[in-house]
Amino acid sequence: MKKNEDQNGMISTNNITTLIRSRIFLINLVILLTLSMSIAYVASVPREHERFLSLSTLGSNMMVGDYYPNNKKDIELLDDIRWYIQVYNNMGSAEYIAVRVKLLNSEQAAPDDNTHTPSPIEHIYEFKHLVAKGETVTIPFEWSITSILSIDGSKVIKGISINGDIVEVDVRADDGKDFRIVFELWRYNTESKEFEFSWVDSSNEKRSVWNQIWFNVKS
Amino acid sequence: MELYSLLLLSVVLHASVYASPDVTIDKALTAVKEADNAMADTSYLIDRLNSVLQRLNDPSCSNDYECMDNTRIELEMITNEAMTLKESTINKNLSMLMVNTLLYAPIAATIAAFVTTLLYMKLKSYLRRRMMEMEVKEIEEE
Repeated sequence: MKKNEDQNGMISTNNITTLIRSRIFLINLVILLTLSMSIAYVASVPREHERFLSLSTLGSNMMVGDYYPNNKKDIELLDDIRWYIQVYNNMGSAEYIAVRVKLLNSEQAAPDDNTHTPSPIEHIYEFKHLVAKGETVTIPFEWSITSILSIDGSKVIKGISINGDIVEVDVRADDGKDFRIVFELWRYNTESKEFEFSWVDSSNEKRSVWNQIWFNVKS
Repeated sequence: MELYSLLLLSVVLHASVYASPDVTIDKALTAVKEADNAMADTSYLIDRLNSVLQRLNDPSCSNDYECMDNTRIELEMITNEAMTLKESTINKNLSMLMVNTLLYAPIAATIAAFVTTLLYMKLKSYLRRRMMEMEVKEIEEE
């Protein structure tokens, strides 16, 4: 080693050449070259991630809660209610989604999580949006009941205003209890050219997403 | 007969005006998705596509030939831009991969190998020197 260093312990040009020609340098270089090239390749290849779409329904303060006026499940005619629907896209590419709104009573079938089938009831309103990958879209949902009929102790909702649009409906519940608004998330399939209620996630499992909020009608 | 042919032609043309945007929506969507998969930034295309989709869902536009025609043209432009974006992103990513793998990685490896070898030799030299400078003590046996 004395040969590789001058008297002050500094490395001279001659010694650099010796160092570069040494076996230890070559072994180091090969190992580090393989390592750095592998890291550079792995870092540039897109990684497989969990693919999912999520749907959340938020209250008037854009939080989980404050869904009803006066914090009671009872809703009266022309009560203005403001909710927010949030859709998050983590499918790895842009997704054209539709949020379908359905008004149901407790006896009508809700979407099935096991078979991933939507509620058979026709939707009363629909929001369509193209969501970029990794983006969350917030859709305001302002609604009120515009028409209620009372028949034999039952209450029938005949009209609903959603974001300023009046929608005619006909849903009955005994004593006006246990109505629900169901939000179903549908995804557009460019191959079948249709919106579909379920899709396959990264682990090849079928997925579907929906929310519901219960309420009573008081008039 | 001529009247019938003209009527048939007008029906076909009418149908094609309404059918073509749907086909192009799928093309545009597929093109944007492919660009997304190639890791391109498609946010501006998605904003434009959203405004087109809004227009298509608006009955006042879907009943207007001119509006539908403009929409179709815009959808075609979005499709073409998405395809170009995809190609350019793939090329950019490939050249970045080549530069990283064939230029930066070898430079970093060479510097790291030089430094580690130098440190190793310094350490080895220091330890050897210390060993040489050690005093040899004779232990007397009882």
